[in-house]
Amino acid sequence: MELLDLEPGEKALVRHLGGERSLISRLAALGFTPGAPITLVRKDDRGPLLVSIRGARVALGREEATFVQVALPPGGGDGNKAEEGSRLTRIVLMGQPNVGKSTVFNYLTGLNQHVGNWTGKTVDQKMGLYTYKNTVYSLVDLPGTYSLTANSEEERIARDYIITEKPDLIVAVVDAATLERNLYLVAELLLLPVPVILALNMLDVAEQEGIQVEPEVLQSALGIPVVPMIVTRNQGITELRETVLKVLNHELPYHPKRPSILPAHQQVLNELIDIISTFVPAQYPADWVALKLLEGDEPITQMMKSSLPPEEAEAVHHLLYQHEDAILDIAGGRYEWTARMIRAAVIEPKVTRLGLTTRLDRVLTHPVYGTLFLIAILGGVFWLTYAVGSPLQSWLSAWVFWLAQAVRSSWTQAPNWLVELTAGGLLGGIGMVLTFVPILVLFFTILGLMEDTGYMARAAFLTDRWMHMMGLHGKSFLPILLGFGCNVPAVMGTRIIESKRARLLTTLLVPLVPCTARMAVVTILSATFFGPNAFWVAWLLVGGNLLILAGLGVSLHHFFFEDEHVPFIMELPLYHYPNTRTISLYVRENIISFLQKAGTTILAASLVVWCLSYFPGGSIKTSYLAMFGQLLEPVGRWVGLPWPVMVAMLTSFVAKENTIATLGVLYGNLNNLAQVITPPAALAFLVFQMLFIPCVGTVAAIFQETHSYKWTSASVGLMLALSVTLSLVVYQVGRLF
Amino acid sequence: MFHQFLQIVRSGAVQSQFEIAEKLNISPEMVVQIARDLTARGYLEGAAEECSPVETSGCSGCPAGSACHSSISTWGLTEKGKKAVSV
Repeated sequence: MELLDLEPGEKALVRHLGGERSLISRLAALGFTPGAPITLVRKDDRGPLLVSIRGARVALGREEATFVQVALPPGGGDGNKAEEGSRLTRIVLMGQPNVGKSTVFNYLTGLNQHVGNWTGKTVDQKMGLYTYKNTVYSLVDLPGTYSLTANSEEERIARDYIITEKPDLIVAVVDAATLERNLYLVAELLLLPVPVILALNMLDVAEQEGIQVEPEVLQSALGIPVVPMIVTRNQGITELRETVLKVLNHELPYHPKRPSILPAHQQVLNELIDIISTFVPAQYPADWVALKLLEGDEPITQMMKSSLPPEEAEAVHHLLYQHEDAILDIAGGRYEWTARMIRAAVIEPKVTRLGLTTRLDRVLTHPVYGTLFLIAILGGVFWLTYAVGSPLQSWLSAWVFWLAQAVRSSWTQAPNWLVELTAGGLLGGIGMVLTFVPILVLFFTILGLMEDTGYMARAAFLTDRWMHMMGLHGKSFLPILLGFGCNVPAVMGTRIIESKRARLLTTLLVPLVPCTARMAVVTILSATFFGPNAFWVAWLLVGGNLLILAGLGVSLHHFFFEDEHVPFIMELPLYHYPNTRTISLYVRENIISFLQKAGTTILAASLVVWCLSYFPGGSIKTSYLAMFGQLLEPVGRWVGLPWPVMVAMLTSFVAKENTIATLGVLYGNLNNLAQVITPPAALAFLVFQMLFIPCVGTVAAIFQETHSYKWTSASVGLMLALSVTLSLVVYQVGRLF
Repeated sequence: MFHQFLQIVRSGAVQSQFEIAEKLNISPEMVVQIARDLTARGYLEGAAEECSPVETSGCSGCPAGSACHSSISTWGLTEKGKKAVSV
């Protein structure tokens, strides 16, 4: 019959929708889906009908109403029963996000679906209907969740729905390619008092990845029906419908093998059930609530707190306190269960990225071979930089020098200070810094390559192995690792260390970590001074620096830390082929950031240095800088360095790269400098530069983190003392040869 | 499984998820999943390596700012975790 045939107040069920697809979907969106109980509220001779459907009143045009076929509910038109929907078999779809749950839902319900919101929530609520072999099923697509621990709104919605609405059946949709991760949810679902069917989806994806899942084996291991599916190709939908029907008619065996609990904890659980069973809110199963209490589930604990009388609450509290670690067994048991299922039913491919990673890691994270490899890699970085980058840099710097000379000889009309500002201040300072761009491009390309292939994480991992062997605090390692990029975040990173003392000591160690800026400066300077031997010099400098770091770390640990051993897990990425795009982006970003710095901080510092070196007399020998430089002269003499070099080092306090810019301003070309200082002095200079006070950003960060002038000056003092002493030793010893 | 897991973590200095996976005969993904789970339950604590606390000042001025934005996750035993395996 048609909807129009109903009389006001009469109730019926929607049977069929006719008309065009657009009309059908519009009606479906309003809740007109086959099986939906409908009540005619008002019908005039003309004008729209007013109906009540799914708790809402809807006005429907007469013409549209002709497309809605209805049927009087069986059993003498007892509409009330239909309105409650009690005859509909209710099924819910559960699953993690991205397992094809929505596709299953769409295939099952077709256009008979209704999208709304969960009451008071922003999460979509999808409901629909389908008819199979004369039975109408209502289907609810619960939000995608990873577990049922009520950590997120989605998880709470899904859990509450199953507990309070008690559907007749749960269809758990899982991704066969990542079955292990998916099965944890199933382990939790099996604890609920509703039968579960496993829809084993995405078998094609699993196959592509070489993973073989055996549905029959999985079925007998789980003890619940398993339906193999490739829902994107519409495979398995009919089988799923059939299995749902059979499970509900008890035509299929259903003996779920749930995760086991140790007998001792089972006893605790039974005790808990005894205490709480009479106070558990009606819709909740007592054994499930007891289990959740034992697991420390927050919402359930709160719920029981308000429903238990004080005496029982105390008993529960006491029991839970005594068996605090029962959770390790209960929740851990679920993982064990999952692992067992996987071992039974899944055959992993023999050659995988995982296999490759494991084999590579056996060598690359090995304490001995791995370290040798790491040393070789670092050596390779320097070698490549010098072999390819340095010739390019010398060519560029010769060109900048020529340009400066050209300015000097051609700008004869301009005032002298302007000529000098351009040739000495701008071209000498910033121009010189820019000639190092090719070296930096190489440097960052190799770093990017190491990062993108997954090797960088191994380098960190290996370094940590060594640090542990030296007894360094586990958490100190993280900031120190960060320090290799930049000391500033490393200092901030010490926040993760709880103990104040350990935090301060790590803060002291961080400036000893050679950051990329410092490494770049040392790389550049050693190329200038040592030409073909630069490779060995740079390599020794970095190695020596790390040894000092380790030595200081060990002694600090020895004197200040208790022998605390903090073991931990580090998540390493799988190795993979580097992606050109990722690496070029990485290089570009770093070079742009370097250029920005060159255009701002370094430019400003170069100009200040130039002004100080030019005024008041127009000659460097009588300049302000020279006056100041004389003060540094004595220290300079100890380490064999002329005062302009000492000044250059001081300017590195603003930014490490300033050393190069200042030397450029003061000497015109770095090669000029190489001719005026001896090799031992040059080496002393490099040591000085490597261990000198960190940049102003780092010092500011140290102050910000320690809130103490005392500690900040201690850090600056320590670095100053180290750099002066060691460069002195290097110079004095070097002179002997 | 959790007990064994915590014991393995405690027995070594630093271990990757691959090493633990081999010892427990489970997949590395599951090791990470368990580590997250144990973190939520207070037996492990995570320390993600990020320079998020210094977004505004530090990293922007550093030529290697992006180099330290790697996403290595680490987990260490908490007091609760240590207590659980020492019993």
